[in-house]
Amino acid sequence: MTTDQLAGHPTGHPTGLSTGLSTGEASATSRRRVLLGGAAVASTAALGATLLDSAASAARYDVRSYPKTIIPTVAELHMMNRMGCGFSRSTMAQMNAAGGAESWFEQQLDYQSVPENAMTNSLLGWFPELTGSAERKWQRKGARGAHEHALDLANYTMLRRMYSSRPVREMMVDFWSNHLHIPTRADRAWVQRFHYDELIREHVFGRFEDMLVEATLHPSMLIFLDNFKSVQDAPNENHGRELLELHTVGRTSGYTEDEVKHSARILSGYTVDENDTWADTYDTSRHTTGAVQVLGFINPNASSDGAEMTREYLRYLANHPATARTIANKLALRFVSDDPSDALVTHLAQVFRDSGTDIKTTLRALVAHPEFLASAGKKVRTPVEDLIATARVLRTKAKAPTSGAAFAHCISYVHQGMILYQWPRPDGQPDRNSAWSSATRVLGSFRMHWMITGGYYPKGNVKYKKPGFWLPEKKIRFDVYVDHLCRTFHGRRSTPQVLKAAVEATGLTPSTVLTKRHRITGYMGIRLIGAILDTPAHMSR
Amino acid sequence: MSTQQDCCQEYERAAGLSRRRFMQGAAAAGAAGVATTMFGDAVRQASFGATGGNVLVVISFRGGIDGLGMVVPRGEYYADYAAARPKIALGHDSLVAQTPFFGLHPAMAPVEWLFTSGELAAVHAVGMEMPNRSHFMAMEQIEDADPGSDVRQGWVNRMIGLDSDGSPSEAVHLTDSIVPTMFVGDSPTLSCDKLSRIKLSGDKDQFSGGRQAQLRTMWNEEQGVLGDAVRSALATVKQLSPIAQQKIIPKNGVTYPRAWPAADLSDALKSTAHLIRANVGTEVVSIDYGSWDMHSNYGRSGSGEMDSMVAGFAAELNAFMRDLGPELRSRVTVVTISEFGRRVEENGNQGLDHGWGNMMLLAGAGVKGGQYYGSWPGLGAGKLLDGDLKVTTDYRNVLGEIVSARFPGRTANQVFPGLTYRPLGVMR
Repeated sequence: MTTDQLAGHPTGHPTGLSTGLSTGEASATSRRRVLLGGAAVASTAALGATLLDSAASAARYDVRSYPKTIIPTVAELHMMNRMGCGFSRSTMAQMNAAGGAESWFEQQLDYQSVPENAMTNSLLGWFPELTGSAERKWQRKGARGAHEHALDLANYTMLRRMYSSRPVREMMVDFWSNHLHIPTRADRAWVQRFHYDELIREHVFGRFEDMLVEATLHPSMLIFLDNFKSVQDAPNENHGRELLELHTVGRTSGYTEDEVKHSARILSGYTVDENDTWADTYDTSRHTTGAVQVLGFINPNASSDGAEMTREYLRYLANHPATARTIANKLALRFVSDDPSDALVTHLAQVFRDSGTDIKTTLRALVAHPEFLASAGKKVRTPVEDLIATARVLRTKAKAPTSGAAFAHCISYVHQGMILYQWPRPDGQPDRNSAWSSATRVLGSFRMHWMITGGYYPKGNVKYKKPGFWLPEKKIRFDVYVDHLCRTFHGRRSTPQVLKAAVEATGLTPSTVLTKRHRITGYMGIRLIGAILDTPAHMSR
Repeated sequence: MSTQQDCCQEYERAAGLSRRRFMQGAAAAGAAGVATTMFGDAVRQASFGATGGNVLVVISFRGGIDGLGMVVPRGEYYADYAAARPKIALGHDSLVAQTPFFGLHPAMAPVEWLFTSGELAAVHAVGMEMPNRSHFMAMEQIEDADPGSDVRQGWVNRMIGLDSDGSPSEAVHLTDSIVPTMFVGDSPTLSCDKLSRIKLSGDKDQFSGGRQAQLRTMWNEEQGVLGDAVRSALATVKQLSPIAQQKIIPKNGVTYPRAWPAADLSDALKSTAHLIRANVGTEVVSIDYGSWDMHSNYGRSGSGEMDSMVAGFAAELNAFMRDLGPELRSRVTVVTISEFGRRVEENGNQGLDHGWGNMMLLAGAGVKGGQYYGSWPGLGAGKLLDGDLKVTTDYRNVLGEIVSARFPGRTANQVFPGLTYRPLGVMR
């Protein structure tokens, strides 16, 4: 009797997707990686056994397949994990409808062509304090200050990443927010921080040049980097320096301390209507005049109105070859690997420059590059990304919050890591795997998996699936069920390793027959699902 | 040959160490063969023996504490200080722990006994060689403490990497889960907001063995830093979790006050004492305390932000040192650090802008207390640099002296490469 017969279904080919290219085809993780390169592998059933015949445990942990639960191809899975917010059944369906990974990505870039779902559209209404005027936020700061506002923005953003039909756009908001980072709790800058977020959203698929000009001169940035304090003949150097070091050309471009001073001189005059409207204003009495020269940008700067010169300067910096290198490096680090090749970075920098800093064109070049697919699974998910992926695969449904205990109000910290957008410094949180790989971090993520899987916390205004929900048949063997869960949560087949871990976690055997009355639909199910989330496949992207 | 290689690889995997970290460990151990004995407690006990179980507690005053308001000039130095700060200067005779030329902020009264007993000292006019008035860059530099090197490794990481023990519990940061720059590097460390976070979920009852086995199955062969982290967690959690989950009862009748602004410091120091008593080989504990970026509302004695922040620190330090008692105080050294000091002259908002020279406090084991150390550059006309107290002592000399005095076998120059080491004699 085959597995599928036991499960009550005839063996058949799933529709729509090629199972031949599926991940999880092979046995051990390391082997799987090797295989991914030449992924057009053999028929499904034989492979695990062939590869494992040297392993002592082969006989006990043979994978039994549940092909009825279809899975994406390697390229499709990688695309949604890396460029989107993670695998989910709904994103897979969206990708199928679009006709595959590339056409889905193209559709996502043209995000207005993808209708946003009603729930995502309602999210802003869940956080009424976010949308108020800066003036009102400042007046009410005694009751709701930077802290509450920062959590609102983190919660709101994470919910969007869990539920949006435009996950690539959400991922890009994260990337650019981190590049042009303003910590959400920064002194006074917080009152305009949501407005800044809207600005970033508007520009994520446009030209970097435009985004840089608008972001640099935004009141939130002017406050955060002290430019609003600049006075005539003694400009504050903070913003002028970070603009060069972090936002554009980078230190390797070789600018001098004098050029930093000139950079500050150019920016001076842009200030903020503090304690009132908090809008950006230009104050000629604060502008420092006198010839300036920064990395080839030359201006006599004779007028007390330096507003237009500043915009020219920002456009100049955006198009500087060193800036292209900075952006290319960062994109490669986030979307490819911790060690992108020089060839890839050079290629992306070239595309970025040639396209006039066009973000879409650069992203297309990135996903088309062979290093992109070759890097599948090589990036560690941050605790925030882990929680988002967890909620997506477990189909956790948030509801409009009615109290502080609501899911929508607790997700900003329930991941137990760095709160989204709260990295305290202007350089943005690190993108390297090592930053997110400490012992306490993994224990925190394991705990988060446990709490979400069990529906233990957060408890308010949320609908968790009960463990029994995942049983696809009235009767199913344990090993087949494990394969079904791997397909459902990882978008991949099971492996002997996962099966072994599942056996260890539950004390059941691969041949145990499960029914709705089995404790697998209760506390044992939490252990099993938790075991499938506490894995490299779920904690990497 | 191959046996040794296998064992090394196995050790690397077991301890979750990168190749480079392993090489350092092997070098420190003196012979590659020692690797076979590096597993588990045997080594921890060995290294424990070598250092005598000494512990360094580093308290970071982030945001730039006003060193001149903590260690205040007296006597003939007082006039320049008072003149620069007409609205916020402390009274000459209000200071505690007085010597002819310096005294401590009056809110430090709860720990004056440590100064009197010779267990508390301060170094003045200390800091980085070159001023850097950007908070994050200064923090980064002061904690990396290896100017001129591109290797991203903090000084604590270098320090704990010098022995053969690869246990993450050697260095514990108790403020949040973000790894501070001084901890960054190849040697495993722990960072958490509270000790109680060191716990494996679902690890109880009849499932405990299976829980651990399940994770080992999934992660034992996982390459990369995340695999290292899980192996490190599994190696640590068994030993540390029972300790971390215990209800902590301070000794010697001490109660740690738990009021604003020092509630977090209270928890952290209480946990630190607990961790030290547990003898798990912890060598460095790092704690962040306070927000010291007082551009306004600095206040004076009895009011304002400086007074409440210092009072919170003094109350908790007092509780900690009494909790430890004389015996443990002979093993534990406390040092404070901050990225920069503040401007000598007050600003228009009764506050102080970013400056340069600062002070460091040292308390506990090995400290030759009851004195103020350093070379005083003065505050008068022509004595300042851009309005700031000058740095006459490189802060690395202070930390280096603590390292070499308290952790035999490790030198200031191993931890602070390129430093021209000139100890002040603040340590025994």
